[in-house]
Amino acid sequence: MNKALLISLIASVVLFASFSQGWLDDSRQAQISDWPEPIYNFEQNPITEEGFQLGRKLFYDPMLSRDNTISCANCHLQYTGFTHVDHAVSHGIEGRKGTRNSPVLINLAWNSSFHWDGGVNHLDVQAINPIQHSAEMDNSLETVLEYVNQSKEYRTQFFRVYGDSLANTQSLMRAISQFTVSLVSSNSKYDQYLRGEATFTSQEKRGLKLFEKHCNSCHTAPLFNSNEYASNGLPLDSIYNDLGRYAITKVGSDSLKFRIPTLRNIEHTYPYMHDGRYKKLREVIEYYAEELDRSNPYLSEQLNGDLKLSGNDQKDLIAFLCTLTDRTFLYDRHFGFPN
Amino acid sequence: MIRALLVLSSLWVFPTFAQRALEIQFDQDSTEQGYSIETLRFYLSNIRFHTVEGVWHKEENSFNLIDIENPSSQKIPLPKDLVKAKIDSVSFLIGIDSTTNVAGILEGDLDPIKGMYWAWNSGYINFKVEGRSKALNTNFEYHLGGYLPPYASSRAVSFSRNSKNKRLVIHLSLKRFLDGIDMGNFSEVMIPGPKSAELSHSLSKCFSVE
Ligand code: HEC
Ligand code: HEC
Repeated sequence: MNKALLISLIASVVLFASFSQGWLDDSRQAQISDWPEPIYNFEQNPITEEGFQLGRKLFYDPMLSRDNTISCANCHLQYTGFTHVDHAVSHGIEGRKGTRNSPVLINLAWNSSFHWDGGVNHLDVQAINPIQHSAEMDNSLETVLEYVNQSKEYRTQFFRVYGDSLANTQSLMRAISQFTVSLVSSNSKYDQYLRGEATFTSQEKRGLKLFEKHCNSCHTAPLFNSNEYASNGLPLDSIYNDLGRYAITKVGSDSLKFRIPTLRNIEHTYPYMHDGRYKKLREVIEYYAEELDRSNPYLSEQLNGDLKLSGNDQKDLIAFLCTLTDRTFLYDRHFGFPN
Repeated sequence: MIRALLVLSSLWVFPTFAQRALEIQFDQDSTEQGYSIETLRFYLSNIRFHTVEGVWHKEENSFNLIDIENPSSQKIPLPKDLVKAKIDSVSFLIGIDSTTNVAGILEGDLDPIKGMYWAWNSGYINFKVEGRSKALNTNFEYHLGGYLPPYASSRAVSFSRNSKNKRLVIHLSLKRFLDGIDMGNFSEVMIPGPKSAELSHSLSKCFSVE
């Protein structure tokens, strides 16, 4: 290897280390060592502990909404994988209802697009949506910036993290991402099983086999999602007429396709699907096993095959899905309401 | 309208033109033309100048938000090395390229706070015109944008230029654009898609360079 190449290689390793420094603690860093490279551009927004704390404060701050009642955490609760349990569609300011189920915020660093229809193309622009949405925080970027720029505490924090005590849209959005991109779940029983730190029951093992056969083509390990759009055959919902990806691309073949969501912590993130139509995991499995309509012209090809699941198979599959629960993530104090 | 400052060199035998700025003009005399315009804002980006010497010059960080309410936005300073060159053609993009559309959160004219950004289908609004047609007695709003194929809406255009003009002017005939729209059936376009792409195409035909 020539010297220049070696030097540039070392330099890039050092650079990568410094971009991702502080992103994850050592134990999480080790847990994801076999995972694909994250997609988030850490070079543009190097994660630091101070940046993370600033983002965390913004995430839990109801002052970001027009009437100071709704924070991001209202719809994204830590104990449920940062989703809004019990509500089929999200509830925002003055109890106004949205049209979609709030998704989990888990392992966002590996997502190439956001929202159920993938309409948001970068994590750093996502938060403009809830801030402005009339059924979410119903506020404007101007007002939020005015608020943070009048707060002594925020000014000090923005200065430390971005070198300017006055926030602008860019530093505000990047600060929020500092927190959300750090929400990494990598210590479920499944992860421990792979690392040889836990054992699976025979039921969980059978469930894993079934999952690999029928589900992994879309909900692909280790992230249990994919950055693709698919139709799992669900009929159009009756209230919102939500055509999914089609709303973004206006291409007919994208009708009724949605982003393939992660199944990590799925046991706790009910209700399920983009419109929250299923309350229980059991109902989802029953849907795939018994109700899925193969003559649905929009159904994605991965589900064309034979998907026969006996009653016992269904139980095994659920037992496996429960191994994706990561308590160290759901109860990590670091991700909770700031002190 | 702000006139460009002319610096004619006396040393040269050949007449050289010394444009200091690129001006954007609209035919805004809307009363006579049957339209009243409330909002007109659009991006011109990747502006490049070709000189008679055969060299392309590019404006650095060339993302310009032109706003009818902000006269200073209608004058774009030329790159320094171009001040004395003779420009024989100009090319630019109406709107924002796809790479910039997916580059995350940007500043300056590209700050989403400028109101030229869709959050739910993240990307820039390349061109926005809002107003009223007197003939049809109807309000109209056209927000054109979207970078995903097959309905990508930014348009690259290129114009050769008559070298006798001393000012460099990009002209937009808004009347021609609005006249070409079936406003009775489409008084609004607010999302990326086929209509946005189609109108973007006809918009590109309404620009010219003097
Ligand atoms: C009123 C409820 C509500 C509030 C408040 C809210 N969200 Fe959301 N969030 C949602 C819904 C609903 C979606 C899905 C939107 C869609 O698919 O159209 C979502 C999606 C997201 C996503 C994309 C996740 C993915 O994988 O696609 C992120 C990230 C996110 N929200 C972060 C935030 C942040 C940061 C805040 C605070 C600034 C916030 N949310 C406030 C309801 C809410
Ligand atoms: C063709 C790809 C595909 C296959 C194969 C597939 N799914 Fe899905 N799955 C999806 C899509 C797309 C969604 C989101 C659909 C929606 O919200 O309308 C989804 C949603 C889910 C959800 C709800 C997630 C949430 O957060 O609300 C669960 C649970 C689920 N799938 C489990 C499974 C199981 C178990 C299997 C195997 C039996 C499976 N899926 C096979 C594409 C697939």
